[in-house]
Amino acid sequence: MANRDDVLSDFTVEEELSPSVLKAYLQRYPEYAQDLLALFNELSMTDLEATEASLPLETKAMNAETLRVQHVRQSLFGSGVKEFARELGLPRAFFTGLNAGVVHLASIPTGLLKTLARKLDVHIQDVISGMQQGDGQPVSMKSDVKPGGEAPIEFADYVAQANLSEEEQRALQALLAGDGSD
Amino acid sequence: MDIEPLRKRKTSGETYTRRPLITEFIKKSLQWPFEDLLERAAIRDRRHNDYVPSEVLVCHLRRTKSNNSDGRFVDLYNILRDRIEAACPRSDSPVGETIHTNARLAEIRDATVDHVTELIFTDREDYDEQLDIYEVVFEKDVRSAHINKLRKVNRKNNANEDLQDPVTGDVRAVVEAALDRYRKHGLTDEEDFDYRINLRRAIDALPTVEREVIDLMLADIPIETTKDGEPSMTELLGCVEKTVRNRRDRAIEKIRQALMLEVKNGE
Repeated sequence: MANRDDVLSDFTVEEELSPSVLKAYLQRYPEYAQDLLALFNELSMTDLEATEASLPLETKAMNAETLRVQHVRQSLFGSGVKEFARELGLPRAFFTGLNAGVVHLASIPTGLLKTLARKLDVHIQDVISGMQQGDGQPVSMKSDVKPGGEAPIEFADYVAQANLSEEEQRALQALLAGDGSD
Repeated sequence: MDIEPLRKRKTSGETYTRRPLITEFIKKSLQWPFEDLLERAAIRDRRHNDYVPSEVLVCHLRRTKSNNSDGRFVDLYNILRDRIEAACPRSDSPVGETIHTNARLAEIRDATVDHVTELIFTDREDYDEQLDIYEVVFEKDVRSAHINKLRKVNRKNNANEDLQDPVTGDVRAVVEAALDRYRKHGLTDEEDFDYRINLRRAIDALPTVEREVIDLMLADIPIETTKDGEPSMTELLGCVEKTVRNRRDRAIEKIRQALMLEVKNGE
């Protein structure tokens, strides 16, 4: 039996999204009928809306998102870092350096991002935003290097330089292994 | 400059390929200074001459792996994240003078953004074929992820299955004619497009169980069949013929009302 996600992915990339294509997929994969029907409706709406006048932008729910990002910043860089660090078994300084000015955000393992998001009860995107904003000093998006400052380093190098104790290293490994699944 | 081919394969074994227009655009955009790409990527109006398709931005994002430029990765990620949010159904709507936020839709939107964000970061650690789809049909795949989250969260009750008086043959005929028009006509004519989008919205507004029946009608799937190898609605939906007919009739009446289709006796 073909994998459900693969079937739905194939359906999504079909050039022509017509009832006849839907029928072909239903004949081939009747076991996924309801998933295919839901996706057909969703993609039909997407196609038609995209053809309509230019899409109005979705405005962010600034209040809810802003609060979540503030919570991240407070926990990693602000008054909450002492307790957060103690809870996770790592030194405070480890978290205060986890920002875009010090570490290449893209080199931070996904497992760690997911674990932090789960621990803080926020979304991964909020953790990333919080790390970009850091402790409140704006990070230039045009240059990797702040005037007079060091260039951001890879996460692996950051950990190596952190001089963690064995116990702290074990705590970090536990965070990196975090699943954070739905 | 070489563009790395996609790796994901369809169930048929064929590899996913970018649309020709996207490939051409990628080749062209690789000649631009990065700042120019960013400036154009900020344009959100698809009709603008300098609009950069999201599929192209995903390709550029993935290429930052090889030149190890984290500033570029983050810049592109931020733009794509905004586009992912914009591709999701709105969660805010005006109610009088205030803006009402549908918390459920906002939650699903955030879960969708999270899903794609995780995929982007996982791909950065080690090539993730799932991200290939976003280089083929970005917005459709965001909506596909969205509907996946919606179906996990959604605890809609099934429509009331109480027996109701069946709609008349005239009502059914006029709506079936409307569906037939949807099935057969293309998108080139503006009038036809208006018709199709309004009909699709009416179908989208139906309860799930009724919408499924209408889309199966559009796909020419019979309610019951004796032909070998031909699927039927009863089989696909796992219910008896009477249930299918009830759902169909309720859906038809709602579509008729939504489109204000007039029923004239004998027509």
